[in-house]
Amino acid sequence: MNHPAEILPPGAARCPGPSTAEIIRADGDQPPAHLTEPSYQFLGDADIAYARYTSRAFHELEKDKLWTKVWQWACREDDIPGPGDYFLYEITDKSVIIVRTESGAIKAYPNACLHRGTQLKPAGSAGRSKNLRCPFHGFTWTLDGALSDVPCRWDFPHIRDEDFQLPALKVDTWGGFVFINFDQDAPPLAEHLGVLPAHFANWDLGAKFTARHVRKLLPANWKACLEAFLESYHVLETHPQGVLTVGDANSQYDIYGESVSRFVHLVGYPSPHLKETFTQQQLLDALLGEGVVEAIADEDTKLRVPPGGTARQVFAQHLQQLFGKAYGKDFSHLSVSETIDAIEYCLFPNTCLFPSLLFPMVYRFRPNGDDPDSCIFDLLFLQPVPDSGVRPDPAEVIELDFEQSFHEVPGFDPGLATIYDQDTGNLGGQQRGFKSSTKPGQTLGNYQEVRLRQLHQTLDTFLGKK
Amino acid sequence: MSNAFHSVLDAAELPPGASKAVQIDGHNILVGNSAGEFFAVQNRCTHQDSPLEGGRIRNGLIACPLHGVMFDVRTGCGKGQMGRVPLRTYALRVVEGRIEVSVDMPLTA
Repeated sequence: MNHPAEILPPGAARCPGPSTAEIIRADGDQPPAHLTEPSYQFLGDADIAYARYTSRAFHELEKDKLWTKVWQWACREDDIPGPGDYFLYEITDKSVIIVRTESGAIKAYPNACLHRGTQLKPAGSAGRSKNLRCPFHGFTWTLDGALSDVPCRWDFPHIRDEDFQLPALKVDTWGGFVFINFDQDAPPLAEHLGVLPAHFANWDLGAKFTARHVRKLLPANWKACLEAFLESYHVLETHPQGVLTVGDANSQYDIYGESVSRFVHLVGYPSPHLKETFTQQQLLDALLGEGVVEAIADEDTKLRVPPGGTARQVFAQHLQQLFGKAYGKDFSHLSVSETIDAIEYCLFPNTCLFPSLLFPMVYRFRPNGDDPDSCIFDLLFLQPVPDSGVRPDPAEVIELDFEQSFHEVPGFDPGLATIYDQDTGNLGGQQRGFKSSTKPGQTLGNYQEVRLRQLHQTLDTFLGKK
Repeated sequence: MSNAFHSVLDAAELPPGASKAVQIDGHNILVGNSAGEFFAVQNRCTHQDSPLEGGRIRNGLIACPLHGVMFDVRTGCGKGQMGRVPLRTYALRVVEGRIEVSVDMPLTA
C-alpha cells in the first residue's frame, strides 16, 4: 500500500499535478470567479453507517423528518404552462397535485378528496382541468382550492364551504423548477437555495426546456444512487473508456453551507492516472471521437489545434458554434469551462444541476415509494429555448425498469448510454453489499467524497440527530 | 363496404393543440391537431363518459379534462388504471385543406 509521503492536515492532500482552478485559468478567458475559488472544508472522517441505506426505521424517519420538511422540486414550470394545467408529484407514499390557477399562480394540494380521501387525479396523469373533481362522488374544487360542487348537497348540512378548502402546501419557483414544501413553517426557499441563485445568475435554467426525460428504477437506496453521481473518483474504474479526456482525479470539490455542493470536472484534459503524455491534437481527436452528449464529431472539417492553443479551447469554440446553430443562439460569451466542463451542483436533498453547454443534465433521486432498497432516478436534459421564444412542449417521460439499459432510449447517445449503464450497474451490488458487510459502514475519501459526507450531515440536521 | 369520408372542418381551423367535436351519422367524434398531425377519436372518455373536447394534447396524448385519463390519439390506447378501455379511432384525411373523417369500420385484410 502507498502512504502519503508527507503528513498534511486531513483533507488538505490533493492529486499531484495542476489543480482544476489552474487549468481553467490557463484557458485564458473570463470564467465566473467562483469557478476558480475552491470552497472545500474538511467535514470529518468517520464511517457512514450502512443502516442509513438499508433500515426501514431510517426510511420511516426520513419520511417523517426529511421529505415532509424539505424543499423539493416537483415539476418544471413548463409542465404546467397554462391555467388548469396540472402535474402529479409523487414522493414516498404521498401524491401532490401541482396546478396553475386562472391568475397564473401555482398551487400544490395533497392529492386526496376531502370527502372520502380518493385521489382527485389518477396516478400518472397530467393534463388540463377546469376544476378538480373527484372521480368517486364528484366533490369539486376550483383551481384555487375553493369547494364548488357537492352532489346531493342536502346530505351534508355539516359541511361549511370555508372548512372545505383544499389545503395548500408551500410553493415557490426558481430556475424554471416548481418547488414544494409540506411544512408550513419551513424557511423560505431562497434560504435553502444558498449560493445557487448567485452562481446561476448567468446560467438561467428557466430559459431552458425539457428536451428529454428518462425515468429509471434503480436497485439501491436513493442516497447511494445520488452518491454515485457526486464524485469523479469512480471514473477510472467504472468508466475506463473516458480517461483520456477527463481530468478525473484533478476534479475540484466544493461545499457551500448545508444544502449546496459542487464538483468541477475537467473535460479535454487527460486523467492524472495516465502516465503517457499526449499532444493537444491527440486530446482534441479523442474529444471529437467520443461524442459526450450528442453526435459532436465533425465529419466535414478536420479540426486542428493551432500552435500554442489547447484542445479545450478548440473544442469549446467548436461546441459553441455547433450548439449555436442547433438552437439559434449565440454562445460565444461563454468561457471554455462553462462550455465543456462537467460542473455539477447538488441541491440537498436529491438533485444535481449542470450549467455548462455540453452537459444539459438534471438528476433527481427519490425513494421508490416506500421501499428503502430502490430508487426512482429522473434524468432530464434541459436545452436552450430557441431565440424565437417558442417553447417546445416538454418531452414525455420514457420509463426504464430495473433491468433496462439506457441504450433502449430512442435517440440517446450510445457513448452516454454506456456511461449511465456503468454508473447504475454498480448500485444493486452496492445495496446488497451494505447488507452483507461485517464492517458497519462506508469509509469516505476526505476530499473527493466530501459531498457525500455533507449530504449525510445535512440529513442528520433534518432528522434531529445533530 | 363503402369508405365514405365526410368533410368536417377546414384544417386551418385547428391549430396545434386544438380539438373540436363533430357529429357524423350519430357518431360524436373529436377531431384534433397533435403537433401538426390531425386525428379523429371518439369524443367520449372510456373512463366515465366525459367529452374529451378541449383536453390538453401533448406528445401525442390527449388528457380527459374531467379526471385526467390520458389516451394516445393515434392508437386510442389509454394509460393507467382508468384508461384500460381504448378510444375508438377514425380514419382521417386532409383533402384540399378540408379535414375528412370516415365512420366506416376499418377495412381488414
